[in-house]
Amino acid sequence: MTALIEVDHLKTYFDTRSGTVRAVDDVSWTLEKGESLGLAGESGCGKTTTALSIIRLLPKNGRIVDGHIRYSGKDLATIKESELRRIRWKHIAIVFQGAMNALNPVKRVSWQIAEAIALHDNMSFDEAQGRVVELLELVGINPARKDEYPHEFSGGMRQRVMIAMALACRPKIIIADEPVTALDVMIQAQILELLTKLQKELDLSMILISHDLSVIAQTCNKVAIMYGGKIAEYGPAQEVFLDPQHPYTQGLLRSFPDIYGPRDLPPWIPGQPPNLLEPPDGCRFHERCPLAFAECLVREPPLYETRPGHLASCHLRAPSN
Amino acid sequence: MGLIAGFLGKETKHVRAVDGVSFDVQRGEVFCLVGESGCGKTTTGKALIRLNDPTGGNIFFDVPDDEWNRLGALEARLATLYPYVSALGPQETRQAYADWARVQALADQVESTRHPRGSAGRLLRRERFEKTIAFLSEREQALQDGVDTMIKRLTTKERNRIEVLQTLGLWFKPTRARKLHRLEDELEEARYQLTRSESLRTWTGKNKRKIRRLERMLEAMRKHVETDDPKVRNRTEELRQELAEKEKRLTEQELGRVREEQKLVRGLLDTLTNQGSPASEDEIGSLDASMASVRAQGGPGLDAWETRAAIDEIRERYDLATWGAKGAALVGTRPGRRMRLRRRMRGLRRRMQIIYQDPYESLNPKLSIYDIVSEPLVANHITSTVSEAEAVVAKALEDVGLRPANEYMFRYPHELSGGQRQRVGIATALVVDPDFIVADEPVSMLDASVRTEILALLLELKKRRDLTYLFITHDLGLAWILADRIAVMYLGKIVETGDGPEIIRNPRHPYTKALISVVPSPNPSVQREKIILHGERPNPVDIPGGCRFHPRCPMAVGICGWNSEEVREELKKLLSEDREQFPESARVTDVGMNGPLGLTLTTSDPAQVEKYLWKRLQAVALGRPALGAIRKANVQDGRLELILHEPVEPPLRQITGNVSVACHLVEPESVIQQAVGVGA
Repeated sequence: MTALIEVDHLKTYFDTRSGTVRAVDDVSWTLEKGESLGLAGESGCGKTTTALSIIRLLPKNGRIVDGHIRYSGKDLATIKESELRRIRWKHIAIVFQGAMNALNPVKRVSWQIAEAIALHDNMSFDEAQGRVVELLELVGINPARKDEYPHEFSGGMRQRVMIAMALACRPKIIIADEPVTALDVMIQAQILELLTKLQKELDLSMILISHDLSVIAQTCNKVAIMYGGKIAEYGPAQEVFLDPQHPYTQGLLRSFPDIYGPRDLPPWIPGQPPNLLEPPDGCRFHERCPLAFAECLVREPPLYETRPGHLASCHLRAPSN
Repeated sequence: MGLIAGFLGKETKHVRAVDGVSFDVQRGEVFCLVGESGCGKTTTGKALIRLNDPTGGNIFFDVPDDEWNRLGALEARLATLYPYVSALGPQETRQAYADWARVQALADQVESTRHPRGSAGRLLRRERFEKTIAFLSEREQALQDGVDTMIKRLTTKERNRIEVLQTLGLWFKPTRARKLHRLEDELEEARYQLTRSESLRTWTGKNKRKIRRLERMLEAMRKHVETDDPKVRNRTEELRQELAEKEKRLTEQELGRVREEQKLVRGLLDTLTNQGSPASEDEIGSLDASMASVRAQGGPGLDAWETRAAIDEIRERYDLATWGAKGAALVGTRPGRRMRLRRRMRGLRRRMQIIYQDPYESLNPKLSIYDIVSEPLVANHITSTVSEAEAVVAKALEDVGLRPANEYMFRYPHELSGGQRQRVGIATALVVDPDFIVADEPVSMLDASVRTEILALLLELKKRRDLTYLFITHDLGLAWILADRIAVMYLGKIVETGDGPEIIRNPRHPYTKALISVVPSPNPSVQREKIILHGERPNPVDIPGGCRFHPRCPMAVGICGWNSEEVREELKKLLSEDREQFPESARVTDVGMNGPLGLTLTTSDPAQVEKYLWKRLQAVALGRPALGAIRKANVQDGRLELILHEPVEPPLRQITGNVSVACHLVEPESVIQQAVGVGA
């Protein structure tokens, strides 16, 4: 398999009133064809910023400082805006966070889906309607409802519309940003089932962003756990979830209530994620880490390869240990 | 004894959001309401603490055991009296009412003789007077010590002037001083803009020019600063004297007023204390005697009226739902009932509170954390001074883990993370020291990693403050950890309720089974079979007949309540699949509906179609439950009439000792044992 998209030492910073926020700080991963990669971590750890950097939809005060995003021989971090426009949506599409609010409330659903097609495929809105029907059927919405407004749809259906919109121009890669957050468990299961089905049927590659590890465990075959703008652990999902190497991943996994386990409150990771204006010295996790030792306070751990393809950024995983 | 026991029904237009739900929450337990969004969980929770009005039903909160038993006894008595009362003629009914009214009047007379001129009202007034006096003497003390805030406020201008004079000099009139400060602010902002544009490598010229201009202007103004000049010192002295004089004058004025008021209120209090006369026992005795004679004459009619009035009295005292409820207004409902309930609800708000779902939406962004948390204190008249409120708020904030409280008190919601905001939400609920808390999905908007922390906090507070929770959630994983008891709701009805661990370990209703199967787990090796319900929940405006869950139920059978429309769709599909098997002569040309429970098949050979149908239906019964609803087929006028099973809504039946389920397919254990016994 060849890497479809390769993020290489990406750094994205935000300029704010109180200083520079290093939201994404030296992040690298690759996505192969047909693969799904999960980006997980607490809010504010740089998951969404990484995704937005790929298609360069960052807010005004954000900028890519360093690093490369290689996609089919081009570097998305540096190519011209006009060139990037040809890649957005046709090659890489995004399902934005918060399906409840990401749709335009004053436009019909069919119009909103057709807009993407019309803009990127050089079609008129009327010509695009056939494709709209096809897309709605694909995501399991009765096409008879295509001319309704978003408020007439339930949360789960709106999320389906968002997915249909992302699929409009037959992209190769889909970035799903928190696709099931704020949905009921049952609808959550429906949407995840749909995403997995679509990925198989349309041979898509997917980047799934979620703070909920269980969502990623169900759908992804590769996972990158992020903490404080850096990658804490990266590797095949099976391995990362079954044998986590980084104390942060271990803590996150332990904090899930297990319905089949004992009836106790699971342990959690105390403390707050670091302030990215002034990230702590050494390992960014050391303040909350139960296993931290002297070296963690002064030296930042590199990504150690614990097993082929499974990396963890922790001094405890250094080859000598 | 239940803290809350009730029967709710909320009806807004035609949306039956909560439809006949009964449960009771025991003191000190966590009761979980589980279900999809729109199943009526939140509506129930809010109705309990009367944030919305139920259309019918009762909500009892904290009824003492003896009153609760009395209510039960009275209701039983009313039931035994019913046959007599319904047999009464109009004349006798009128007589019974007149008797009851007479007894009522006599009882009122006894009351007024015993407590002349409303002693309860007098106590209240006395309390209020005493409070006023205390407040006034507090102010008097403050005025004498020179720390009264009102005087401070009235002399702000003078004090500001002195400050400007001391720091800047004579030339700076108030307007000029303000301008200086404004320019300083602008300069700071411009400098920030410059550093930003430099880091973004955009055009910086504009900002640089602006900074130069501002610096020039400031320099020009600062030339006039002179603080050591003797003229300035003289002027400052003068102003100081003026200020002192004004303060003295105002203080004297206020002191006079306060003292005069105090004297007035003291006088009123004295006259109140000297009033009142002892009740005459003879008078009461004679009234009691005449009451007894009326009672002796009155038959079961009078008895029924009295029982109903007594029931109503208890209801009025403890039921939170009856206002606006149809049919709940029994005899003896006195005017002003609504007002009284509202006043009582005010008092109860201190004892029942809610934690809202979304900490990003439920905190007012314009208010500081102190303002948000102290709002219930002010609204419920719990604290009267700022320092007192501050102490209570600080304690609540520390209780929820926002330590040190001083650091958080004057921040704004946007400065806090999601978990911290939810802690503020919890502090707001806790600050009035309630007994009962409705927690409406308190962790669903939080990161998975913060959730457990907040849950741990809720459990710890429960233990420490002896709280009772009604926990609303859609995630059975949370219910598993927290719930002592669970009620699973679907479309406004409870489908399964009982002991929490028992329901999750051993779910009986198909909906509960599905919900449990989709509880997410981060362990990819645990791949249990998921029962994913397809489609969305039906619109509560148009609730399916029979069992509400049947259109989505993976286990539905014929008796679950299919209507002719649903059966017709399935039948049409089946017939078009089997088209080839029919000879041209026996084809079904049309399937028509005949009311909600009948279908009419138009065909040239009904008898053959009937035979075919029965054979086919048996074969496909499992995969197509809707077709199982066909109960009978008649050949009539050359057409085939199909009759469906009557839809019956499954009642909530007790299955074992502590679990009740509403499903046609789940039989109580005793029934099953009986059946097995008979079979053996």
